[in-house]
Amino acid sequence: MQFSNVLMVVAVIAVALAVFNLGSVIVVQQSTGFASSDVGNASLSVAASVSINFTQRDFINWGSGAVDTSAGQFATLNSEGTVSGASPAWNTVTSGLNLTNDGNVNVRLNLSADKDAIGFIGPSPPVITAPWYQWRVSNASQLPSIVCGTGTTQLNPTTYTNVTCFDGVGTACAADVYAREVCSNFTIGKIMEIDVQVIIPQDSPPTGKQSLITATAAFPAV
Amino acid sequence: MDKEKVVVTLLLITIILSLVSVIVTFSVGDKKVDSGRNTVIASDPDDTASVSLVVQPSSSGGAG
Repeated sequence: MQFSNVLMVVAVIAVALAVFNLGSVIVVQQSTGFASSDVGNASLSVAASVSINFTQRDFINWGSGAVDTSAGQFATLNSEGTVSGASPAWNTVTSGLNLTNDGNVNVRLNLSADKDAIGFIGPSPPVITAPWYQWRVSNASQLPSIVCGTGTTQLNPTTYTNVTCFDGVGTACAADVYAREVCSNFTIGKIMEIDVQVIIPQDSPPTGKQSLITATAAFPAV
Repeated sequence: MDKEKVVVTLLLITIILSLVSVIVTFSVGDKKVDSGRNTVIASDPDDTASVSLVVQPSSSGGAG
């Protein structure tokens, strides 16, 4: 074969590869995107993260105490600093439970308790006076802020309401007496304070008492 | 004749560079597609707190 023929073959191969190279670059650039101007356009989706936590305070513990029967038939305790009708007195608690929406979406918020007043404090049945087990919710975020945005349920109840009748409308207790929606639009990053109040009758059984409060979030908010 | 050898050498270099270009193009393209996939965000939709106290017997005889 003459050298000029070899040169021709090599040149043809080079041209073919160059064409293939150009085609492959175009195909790859079309699948990954290429700039047609100096303005870029990137799109992505972020999954909804539904997350609430009792991050700053997840318990209320009044310690030990007794009803002062010389002062009355019951003692009153709440998480805003009230301890009355007691001797020896229970510890003073000045902060309620703090619940934070640490997800990335607003959520519907339900609170539930595992016991009502009789189950928590007793006695059962009440004889001298009825026990109380109440809670209220409020905004614990720094002002100005909205802990519960507009929606079907806005931060309710804001005054102490019996756990057993947590519907807040003065009607008979519903079947889910220990659970209630307290906010239908709990805002991202905000903190809700849940204060608790109990009334302890003088005939409440002398023993340790505990109740669990569960906060449950659902998405989407309304 | 020396001039023809130079041309052949240049063509061979062109072929090699073309092959390298194809390999690099595909490898970079794959990395771009793979980045940003498989983002998983955990959810924690509930939490529990406790309320507790201890009731002592009343010294005046009311408790119990």
